[in-house]
Amino acid sequence: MLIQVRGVVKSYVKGSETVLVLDGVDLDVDAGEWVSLMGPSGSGKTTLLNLIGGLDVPDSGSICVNDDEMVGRTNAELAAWRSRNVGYIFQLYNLLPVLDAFQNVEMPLLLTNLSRKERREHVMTALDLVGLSDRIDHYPAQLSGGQNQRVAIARAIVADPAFLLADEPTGDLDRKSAEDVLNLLQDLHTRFKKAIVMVTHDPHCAERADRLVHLEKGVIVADT
Amino acid sequence: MKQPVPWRLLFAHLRRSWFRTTLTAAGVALAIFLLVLLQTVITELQSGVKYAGRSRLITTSAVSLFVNLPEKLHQGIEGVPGVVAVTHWTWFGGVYIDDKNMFARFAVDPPTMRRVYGDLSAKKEIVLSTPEWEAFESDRRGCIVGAALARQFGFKVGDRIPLKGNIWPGDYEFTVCGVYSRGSPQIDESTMFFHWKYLDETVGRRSVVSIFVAELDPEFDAGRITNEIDALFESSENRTRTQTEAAFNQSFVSMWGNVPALLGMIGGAVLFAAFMIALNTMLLNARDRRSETGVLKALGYPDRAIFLLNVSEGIVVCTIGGAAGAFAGWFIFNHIGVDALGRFFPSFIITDETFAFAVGTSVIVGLVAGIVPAVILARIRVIDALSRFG
Ligand SMILES: Nc1ncnc2c1ncn2[C@@H]1O[C@H](COP(=O)(O)OP(=O)(O)OP(=O)(O)O)[C@@H](O)[C@H]1O
Ligand SMILES: [Mg+2]
Repeated sequence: MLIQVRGVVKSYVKGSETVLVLDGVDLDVDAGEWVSLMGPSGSGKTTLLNLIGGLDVPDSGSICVNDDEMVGRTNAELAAWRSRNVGYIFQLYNLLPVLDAFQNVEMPLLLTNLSRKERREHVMTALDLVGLSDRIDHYPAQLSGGQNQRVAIARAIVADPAFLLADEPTGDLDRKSAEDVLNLLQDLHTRFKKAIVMVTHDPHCAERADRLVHLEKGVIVADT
Repeated sequence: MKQPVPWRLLFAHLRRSWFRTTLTAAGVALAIFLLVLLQTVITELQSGVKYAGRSRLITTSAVSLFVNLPEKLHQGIEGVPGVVAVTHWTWFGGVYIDDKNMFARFAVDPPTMRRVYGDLSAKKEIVLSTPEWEAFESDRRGCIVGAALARQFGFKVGDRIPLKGNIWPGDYEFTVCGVYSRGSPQIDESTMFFHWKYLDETVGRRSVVSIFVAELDPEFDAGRITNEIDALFESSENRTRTQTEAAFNQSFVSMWGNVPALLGMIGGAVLFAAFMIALNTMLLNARDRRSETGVLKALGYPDRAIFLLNVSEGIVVCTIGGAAGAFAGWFIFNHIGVDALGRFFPSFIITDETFAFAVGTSVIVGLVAGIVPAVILARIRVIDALSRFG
């Protein structure tokens, strides 16, 4: 078992009001498994993804990754853990606009002990994989949405994490680019055995996964 | 654990927002330039006290600085044990061609002056080559001028300088025998010195001087010698007042009253303005860096790296600005020289201390201005930073 979520509760305080976002979620993700997370807006999909990725901590419950408990760790520990284990793919790519494609992809590697030359090799491999090795010196503003998302995917996989977390990775893309991105994820899944947890609103996208999980009002209502 | 700061982002940001960066650096540069200017004024005002000879006494009339003393008193002063050399200065006043040409002119005794301010002076307060000293000593109508004065009026060795006496009536003409520079900030580089004997002959042997300067053997107690000198003339018609050079110079600073404090306050206000400029820029930057910070944190960059990255930007921008401002001041005042200021502060020189102080100040301004946004960004939660709702 790669990811084991047990009884996770998460609420946010909004002004004087407390919003219960996740209300006792249990979820298992196997190594190499591709899970699609669906559900209406506000059902807590992003929140769940953030908790699994160590970007936030639950109010209660347990999240184990590779049998390591994530809950109760310090910010610094979580940061170090993220850099080694998680690859994020965001809806809006979240590339750093002041850096070119190569530098963006290299960012996670600056946290490792790799030499400059090794980093270069890794970055080129990743950019090659997403089919952008001829765009290494382009800045995000000089690339299309689909290309930006592919750079972001290269960045997510460059440090070779065990799993990828993708929050509506095709949500901002046209059909063709979305298809490219999904094919890329498919490739990473089948060839490199990456586990993927992907939030999506599009049933057509969700179908590509091994498994479909439905979230509604903070609880999992269907798991097929 | 390795905690690398993504320094490439620092330079990428500076490049990307070069206009904002440049404006901020220019604002800080201007403030630091003014600070250097004000600090130098203060330093110039106080240099006489700070750099006064440690083993030197000044004897004036007990009545007032403006009452002269007989030249022959020097024998008595010289006789006091511990006194190594005695020289004297006499304020001349006078007019060089036009009233507007103001610079200090003193009648002195060249051989003893050379001993006190040249040979005996550890710092060689008055720097003049041996041939120039010798030419000055041997030419009774000779004079020496400071480097700044020479620059201002274009005086060269061999030039004639006519002076019209007012306190000391008569028409005088001097030959420039040398151009001195200073080895210590307390010496003014825009003064003219000439032979007291020439003056004394011209006015008909009044044989009086303004002040005596006694160089002491440092082994001796200056306080005791001070009392001994004044005791010598206690019951004469020429009672004296002897004090250390520092105390003597302090009385000139005191004439400026609160001016140094006022200048200090202006400097503080200017500095505060620079700080506000820098802080404003850093806060704008912080606002722009929210999502970037979120991404960096999501990638696993620790809070400390975020802090260092952002605080460095403030320091870099302010230090570049500050160094530019201080360097501009150095270049303008020490290298080109500004005549307008030269009139009030003949030796307007930015000292190394002032330069270092100014640059150091800009570093601190950058640090303080950078800390606020750096702390905000370092502490922001990833999900808040990445949140689309702001
Ligand atoms: N940082 C936060 N502070 C306060 N409330 C939050 C925060 N993040 C999320 N929420 C609230 O929690 C609820 C669930 O948010 P979440 O983003 O997880 O939903 P989602 O399923 O991803 O929705 P969408 O499909 O619109 O992205 C929403 O009501 C949202 O307003
Ligand atoms: Mg969401």
